[in-house]
Amino acid sequence: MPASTNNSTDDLDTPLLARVACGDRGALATLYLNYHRRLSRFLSRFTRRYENVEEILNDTFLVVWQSARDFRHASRVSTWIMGIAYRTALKSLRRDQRHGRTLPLDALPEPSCDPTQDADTEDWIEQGLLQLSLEHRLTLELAYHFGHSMEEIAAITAVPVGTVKARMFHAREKLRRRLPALSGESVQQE
Amino acid sequence: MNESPGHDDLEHTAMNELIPWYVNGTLDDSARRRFDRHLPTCPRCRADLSLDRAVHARMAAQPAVEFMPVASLKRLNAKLDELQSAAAHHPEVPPAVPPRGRPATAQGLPLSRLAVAASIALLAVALGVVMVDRMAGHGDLTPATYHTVTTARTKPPQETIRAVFAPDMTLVELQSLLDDAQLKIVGGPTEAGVYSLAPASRLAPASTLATASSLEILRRHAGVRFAESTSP
Repeated sequence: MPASTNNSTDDLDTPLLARVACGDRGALATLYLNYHRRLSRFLSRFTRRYENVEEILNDTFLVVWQSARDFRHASRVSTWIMGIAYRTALKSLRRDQRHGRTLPLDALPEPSCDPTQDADTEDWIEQGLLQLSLEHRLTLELAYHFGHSMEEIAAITAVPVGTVKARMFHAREKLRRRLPALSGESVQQE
Repeated sequence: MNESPGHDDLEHTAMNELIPWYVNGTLDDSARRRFDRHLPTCPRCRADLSLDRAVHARMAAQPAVEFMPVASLKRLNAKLDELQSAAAHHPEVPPAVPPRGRPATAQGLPLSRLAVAASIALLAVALGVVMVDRMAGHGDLTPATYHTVTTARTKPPQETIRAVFAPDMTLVELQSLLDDAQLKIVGGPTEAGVYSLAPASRLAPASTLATASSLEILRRHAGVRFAESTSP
């Protein structure tokens, strides 16, 4: 089974979070600096408005500050914080979409060229990823790029593991249908 | 080996689900060996593996967005100050973080203690900024109040340069500078704002000449407070 993300910092995060729960702003600052780079990379995956990334990141840590006492140790600190960031980001993006500040994902135009004739595979993958729903794309990002296990993704996105499996399956299936030329050997050669 | 078709399908499904973690190298040894045994027998998984490797590579190739954490942290602290000030001046508003063991009401929080705690926190952040300035030309890390992975000086394996950037440096400026110097960020920032940098291209060896050239580019830039080589 997939190994959990290497969370060697978790042993250090837990006492930090405990101090945050006691109102220690210095501990919050340390936790913030520890997570800033990772979270800003994660958040920049699904919002192209860079000014939003900092806003979402800071909103995330406001929630961390206010909710540290409620942390139950049922998950890792990192998973808990990523989950807060994920939900904060979704809320922000949906609010922006309601106010017309961002394009809905399905407003992106379909590519007009045959993918088998287009040599720029990366662009086709990028287009394929952008055609996925936000939840599907983020699930793939959390798995492929950030290396989270299905259980961790379930905790971050607050859905059952079965839902994560279904999202992974449907997202990969959609990419396969869109990018058949990248699938390598044909199944018919079996 | 005679396997029932149902068994093959189940095995394929189970193995196919593992492909994302196989391509990013996080699969545990047992699962990886099982997948390696399965792969030669399953054209469908071989086909999917090719696509999934391309997807993983595309995700990894997306430009990294590097933000300046110190400036962002200042804004967070300003927001927290607002909340605590509001709690202090409007007792009907619950405080941001009631201390443990006390009633969760504003009346349970001595204003003086809140003010002192907020001042200490602000002073800690301010001291961090001051120490970043002092580091220019010295190269010592300020001992941190808390022991974290960023303060235990474990040098990233590819690191050739350490640098500190001005807190008001914009993202576009930073990315442009890194491109000019042919560097990428491989670690940091530490609590003192120190970044670990390495050659941007894995194909280019980290030569003394290349490091010196990159250092010169960094030191010429007004937004670089400190830069030093960590190569032997």
